[in-house]
Amino acid sequence: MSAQDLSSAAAPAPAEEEADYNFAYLDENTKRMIRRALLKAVAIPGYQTPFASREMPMPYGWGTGGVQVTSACLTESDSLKVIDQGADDTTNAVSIRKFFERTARVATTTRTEEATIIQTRHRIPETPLTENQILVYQVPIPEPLRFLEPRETETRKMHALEEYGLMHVKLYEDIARHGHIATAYAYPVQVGRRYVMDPSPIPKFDNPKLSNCPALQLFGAGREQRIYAVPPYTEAISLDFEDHPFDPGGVDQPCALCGATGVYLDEVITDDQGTRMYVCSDTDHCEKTRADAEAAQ
Amino acid sequence: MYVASKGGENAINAAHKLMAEARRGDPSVAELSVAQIREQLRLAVARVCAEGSLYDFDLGALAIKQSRGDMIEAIFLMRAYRATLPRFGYTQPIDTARMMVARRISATFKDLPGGQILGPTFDYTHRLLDFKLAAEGGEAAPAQTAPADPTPPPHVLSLLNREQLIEPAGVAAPEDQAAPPDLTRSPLELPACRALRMQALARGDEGFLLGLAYSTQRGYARNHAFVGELRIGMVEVEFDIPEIGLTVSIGEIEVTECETVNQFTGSKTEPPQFTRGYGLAFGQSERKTLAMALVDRALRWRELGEDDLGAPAQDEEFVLSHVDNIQASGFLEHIKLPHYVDFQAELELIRTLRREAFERRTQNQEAAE
Amino acid sequence: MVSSPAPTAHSPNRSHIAAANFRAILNALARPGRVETAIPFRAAPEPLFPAAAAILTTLVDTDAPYWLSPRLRTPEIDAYARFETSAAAAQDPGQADFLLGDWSEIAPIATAGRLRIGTAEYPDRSATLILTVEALAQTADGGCTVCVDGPGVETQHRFQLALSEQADAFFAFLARNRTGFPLGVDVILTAHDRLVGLPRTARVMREA
Repeated sequence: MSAQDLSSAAAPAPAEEEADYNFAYLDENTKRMIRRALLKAVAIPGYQTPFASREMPMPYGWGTGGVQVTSACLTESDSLKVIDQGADDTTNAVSIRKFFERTARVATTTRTEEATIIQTRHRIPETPLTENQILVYQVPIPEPLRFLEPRETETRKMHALEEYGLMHVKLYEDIARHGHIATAYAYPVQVGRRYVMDPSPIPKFDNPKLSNCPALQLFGAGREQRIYAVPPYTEAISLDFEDHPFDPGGVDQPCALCGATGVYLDEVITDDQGTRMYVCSDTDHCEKTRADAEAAQ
Repeated sequence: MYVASKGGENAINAAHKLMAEARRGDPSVAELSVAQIREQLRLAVARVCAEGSLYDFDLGALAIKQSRGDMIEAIFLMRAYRATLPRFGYTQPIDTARMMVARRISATFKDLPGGQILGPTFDYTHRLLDFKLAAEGGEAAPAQTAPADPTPPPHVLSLLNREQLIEPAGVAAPEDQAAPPDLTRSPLELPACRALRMQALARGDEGFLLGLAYSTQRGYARNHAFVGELRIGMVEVEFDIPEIGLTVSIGEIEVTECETVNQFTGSKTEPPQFTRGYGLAFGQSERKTLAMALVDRALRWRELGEDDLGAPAQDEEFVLSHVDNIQASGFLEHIKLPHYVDFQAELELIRTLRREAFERRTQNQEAAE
Repeated sequence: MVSSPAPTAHSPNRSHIAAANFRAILNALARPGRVETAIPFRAAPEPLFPAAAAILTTLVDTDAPYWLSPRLRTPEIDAYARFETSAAAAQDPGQADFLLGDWSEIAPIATAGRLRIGTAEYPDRSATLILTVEALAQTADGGCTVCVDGPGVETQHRFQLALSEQADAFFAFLARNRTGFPLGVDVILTAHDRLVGLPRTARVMREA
């Protein structure tokens, strides 16, 4: 093969040549495989459906599962929002949004209420979701029992037998030792009173939004080759005990920028004396609150 | 007044420009061509093709150039490219007995039909930096070689086979007799058959396999391996075209094949005999295939009725879940991504726990006083 | 050396239509009892409904065996399905991931316990039934009123279903299917270009 042949046959440089790839990057066979897995995931809420995850042009651990799910769901008429840590302008959110702008030429937005598909890492938007939306989570470790039992062959049996005693023991040991359940994010939920599920590393503050949500919630773990779902209006109950009910936690003060309360706040250190302030993690919600306040004046 | 920082997009674009500049290095030094990499860094290209699971030495060389010599990054480029290629079908199994060998050695027999062929090897070189190579423009003198023997040498282990001293090649466990599964087309399911394990090892990280193989030599499930045969050369790839009822040759590929002979003292069902470990990879990949053969043999404990010694190399789930360097490096490096939301949740938790611990201590002290 | 072909571009039209059809199917199973519509890229021969053809062409390929009921196994439909999925229909319904046909044709297979319902460890290894019915509508349009609740439904979803043959047995089958959760099959009803999803979690009641 000559150098000239090579330049024409090689993978396109990230310029205009993405037309060489199929709509939303993945080929139709791969999409069909993911689509079949998605339907099973929806039909068996909270169950981790295996799928033959492909190598994507971004590294495993950087949202390949979410990207594959979004790619399989995306249509021409969608409006896509991508957030990481609640923000639209974090580097990886920008990178994934650009990927779909290029490969699917789909409309993108930062406004939660305008989006029809929202791909997220580590947050659920503050603005309540609607029936017209799909929330796609990027998942690093889909198995809620993984840190109690490293073997997939064992955890799969535990799910089959609905044997979740180990998880309850772990949570109860926390209470005995600390007076609290020492899990602050990726807090396990039980979906539809059957499967215990890892909601991805969202703060437990977001857990109540998982349950009975009008939007369809899809979870993609690329490296671990698993897809799972919480259908709309489906119970996703955070595990707890009668004498130690689930507490979503959160900082008890308003956002320093927009004044919103009851939202998840990031701590920002503003000088080297340890002075800190709290601002909204959801940047779109923060901007909207400020715009609404200005308009009201 | 605090303003939340923006401009992720600009930062990314600037970083990409800096990376392109760094890749080129000092512009007063001539740029590397892909052909130079392909010809002169051939073992690097072989590794990229083997672990990238795509046989194309030009693309392998391009990947090395693009990745600035970061091998795992280059392998990743190959994998991502490969994932987009249409699949036309599956070739016939290659027949390494018909290999045109460039190198072929056996550690188990001094002399054997077809002879020992050292070929291009680092073995027996003195590892002294060769400053002649630092001077440019040196041409290697053509090596003296015996004319190639047109009849391919037989596999060494087939000689042992005649006395039935070694298990026959390709003995398939019952679960292996169906068409082999395709690791790239269906999710990994455990327990895995040997064919599936082999696929994972063939594209697995050389360093990880090296460490595991070494651990078996040091006693973590020792399997007493001898190199029965290591051969490197070109083999034909044949493809069935059912529409015209023909099998056609679609080209030749360079592969390295390693077969080990391993001691086996017998089990309840099997008499004492030698057993085999097997390694195969694209290009000249000796260390990789040797390591692969040792790990393959270690993973076969169950099928051979051996004891589970709890060694890492025997643990199929452990090996297969961690052998892929693209999965491993992606997940390892993802911790560079922002995690401030989860970290914030942890911060709050730690503050709460500490506050309560102090309160409890104070109460206890007060109670004591 | 084997040269590397450039990635092939599929007809954008085909993948856009597949994407829209998939969303209809996904919505149908995520919101049981809501009527969705789907039309395949290439018109299907009668009596294969457009919605059933759209599901077939959106989800089926060589990795997902499908089975056509005797009534649908005409040479034209066979050729259509073979071209669109690159695969021939399976002879054995017990092997199929997707079964297409009338309820009356699939009922004996279900009764014989031959449908794939998954295993305790892999409940996803189960079949999807793509049933053809006489009519589907969201609001009153003849037929009987069916009321659905369960995951995907806030309070209740109602739709109209016209199914003349073995309707009692069908509702009894759905009730049994639900009690086996997480094992079971998922059902998609189709009529012309309309479809309604009834995943194994759906509680389905026929109103008088």
